[in-house]
Amino acid sequence: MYTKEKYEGEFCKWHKLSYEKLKETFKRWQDALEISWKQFLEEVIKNPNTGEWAREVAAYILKKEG
Amino acid sequence: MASRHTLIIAEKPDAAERIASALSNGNGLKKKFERKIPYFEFEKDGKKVFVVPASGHVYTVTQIRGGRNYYPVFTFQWAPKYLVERGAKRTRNIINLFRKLSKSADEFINASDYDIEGSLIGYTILKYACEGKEKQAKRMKFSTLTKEELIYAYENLMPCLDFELVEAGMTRHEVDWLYGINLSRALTLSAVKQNGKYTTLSVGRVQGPTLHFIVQREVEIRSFVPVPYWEIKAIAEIDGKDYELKFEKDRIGRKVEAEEIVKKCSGRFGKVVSIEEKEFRRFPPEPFDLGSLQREAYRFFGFTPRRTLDVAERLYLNALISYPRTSSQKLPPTINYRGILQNLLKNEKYEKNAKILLSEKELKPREGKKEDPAHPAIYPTGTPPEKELTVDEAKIYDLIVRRFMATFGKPAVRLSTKVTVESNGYTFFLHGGRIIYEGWMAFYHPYVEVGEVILPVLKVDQEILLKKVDYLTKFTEPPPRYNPASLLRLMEENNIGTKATRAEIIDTLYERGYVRDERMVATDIGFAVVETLNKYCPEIISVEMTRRLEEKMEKIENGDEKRENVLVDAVDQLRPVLDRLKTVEKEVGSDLSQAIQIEFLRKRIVGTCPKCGTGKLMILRSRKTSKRFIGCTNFFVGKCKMALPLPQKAGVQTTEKTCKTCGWPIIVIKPFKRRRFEVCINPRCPSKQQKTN
Repeated sequence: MYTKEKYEGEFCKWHKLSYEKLKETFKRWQDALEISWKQFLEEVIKNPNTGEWAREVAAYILKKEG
Repeated sequence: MASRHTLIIAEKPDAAERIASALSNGNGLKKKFERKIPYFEFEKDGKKVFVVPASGHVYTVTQIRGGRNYYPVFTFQWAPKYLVERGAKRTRNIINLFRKLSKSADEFINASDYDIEGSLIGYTILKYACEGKEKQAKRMKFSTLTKEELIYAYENLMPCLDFELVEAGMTRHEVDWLYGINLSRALTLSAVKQNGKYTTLSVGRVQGPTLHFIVQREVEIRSFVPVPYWEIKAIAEIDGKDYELKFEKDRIGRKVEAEEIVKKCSGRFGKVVSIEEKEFRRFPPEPFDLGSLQREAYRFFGFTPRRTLDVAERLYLNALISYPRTSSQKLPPTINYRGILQNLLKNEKYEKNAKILLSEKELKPREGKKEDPAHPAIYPTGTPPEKELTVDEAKIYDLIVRRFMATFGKPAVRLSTKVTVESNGYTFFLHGGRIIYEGWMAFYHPYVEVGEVILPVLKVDQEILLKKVDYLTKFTEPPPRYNPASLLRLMEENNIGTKATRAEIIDTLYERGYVRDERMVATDIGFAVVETLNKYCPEIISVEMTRRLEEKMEKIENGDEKRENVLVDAVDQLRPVLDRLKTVEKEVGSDLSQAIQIEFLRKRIVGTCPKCGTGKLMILRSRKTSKRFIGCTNFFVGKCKMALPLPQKAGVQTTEKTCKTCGWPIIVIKPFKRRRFEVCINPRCPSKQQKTN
């Protein structure tokens, strides 16, 4: 983390950006495949093209949402 | 030294030797030394001539008074470099030599490289070391260090110095100094006040926006979320041979659609509906300016822009190529194309191609749009090398020679064939292509890539079996990280920095620890610097501001703007920024200190512990002996006792590499005054045993 600031009480600036991107991209994944939010997060974590912040956020959400 | 003489200023010792030997024609040329500084003496037309080399800039900008621990600083002066910079002691002897020889000289000539820096080097020596001789001095203008051109330049001296270039050069140095010293001090002092440790944090007028590019790209990569898509791969069998067909769409956005295409086309026949043949002309490449040479050298040899520039300068000093710090893509006829090709005939490597070109009635190079008032594009002089070239020199020289010849070639002609095949309502294409006339490509081998695909003979309405149609699941990729060559191009496109400074700025980003690796990764410190500036003074990292200043400085070169105005503008822009930084010093220091600590820690991490698999191996110091060693972080929780020795006197640097033989981390050892080398940290690594055996 490069700044102490927290956004929405959950993420720093960069992880918030990644979270927004995850939400946006999920819509495109849903259009491409029939996939649930949980499956999507699992796929994103596995994918080597995923950026490290996006992967961290996906893992965090997955853990939190069980 | 009673008799009057001529004093010629050269930029470097090699250039001085070339100039002296060309002008003296070898007659009575004496190489002398004064306190280890070489200089040359000969007689020309009954008058003694001294050619004395500088060593780049021997004067520099510095603050008028005060220490290093405050800002803002807006008062400056030009001073001998040895008074300002550590490691510039040699410039004292150079300045003293100029001072001594100028006393009885009655003619002064600046024969430094003909560009902003060369003009300024000569001007400061004439003004300060020779005590006000800048107004009576003349200027030698040349683009190569060949004997003919040097003699011509001497016989056709410019009557006075190129004061507009000098003014532009002074302004650039002064503006860059104002930005560099003030912003760097603001950041460094904020961090020092916060954590008590001194780490130099620099940021400059061009460095800031350049680092910003890298950080922006890093953000895109680290927050990237891939999206799936599908590609259709079709193989057709024609006359017993397999050919790959391209589907009408590059990407399919939905999996069901891709499945449908496969279902409908695989194993089915398609019909050839059209065959189109077209001839395309590929024009010769433009001659090299510095940027395009640096990019091409990176592409083919992996050389960084700095390395290419260094090699090109050596070739220039050996009179093998023209002046490399040029932004021109023009080759004027005055460089004597035929003369150069005649000279290249003597080199058996280029003999064949030179002969072909010389047999042409008219030689006309392809030229680009970019111009440089001072120099043409980079070209070989044709002069055979006097000594064997190093591997790097030979590579760059070959690239320049072949590029030069290629610019005179005729356009190449490629015959492209596009076969359209339809199957079940879908369209596929079979693409072929071959070069039917090589033209310039023949001169540019091996630096030209020709992808040839020869297609079988086909007819319209012919049925083709689509033997296998499949889909490939793919994912979008993040944008690539910049490398030194792509970053250089971006700087050029945004018109920040100059052809002479860009490579150095990229090097500084590495030296300061703002980026690492060849594919440039922004470090925590790099991030913190950009974030801090973005938060408190975004204008410093904006391309706009530095580009505006750049344009104004270009106007000075053309005589359309005054140095004073640009300096006042620069101070007006800087002052509020520095005031703002001063008021938030604590916050700035806190953000930067955190990043410095993280980066410091990262540099000490060697890799994952191969013994416990969960801890990190780190460079540590023993509390008892103060000796350095590698230990596992799990030691502190009592889980792992892994410890490995390290050399105590050599420098040690971590890498992110692992050993190909045993998989343990690799570190770099940097012995004092000896070459650095990589080593696996595993004392029992089989690769070491192989070497011992």
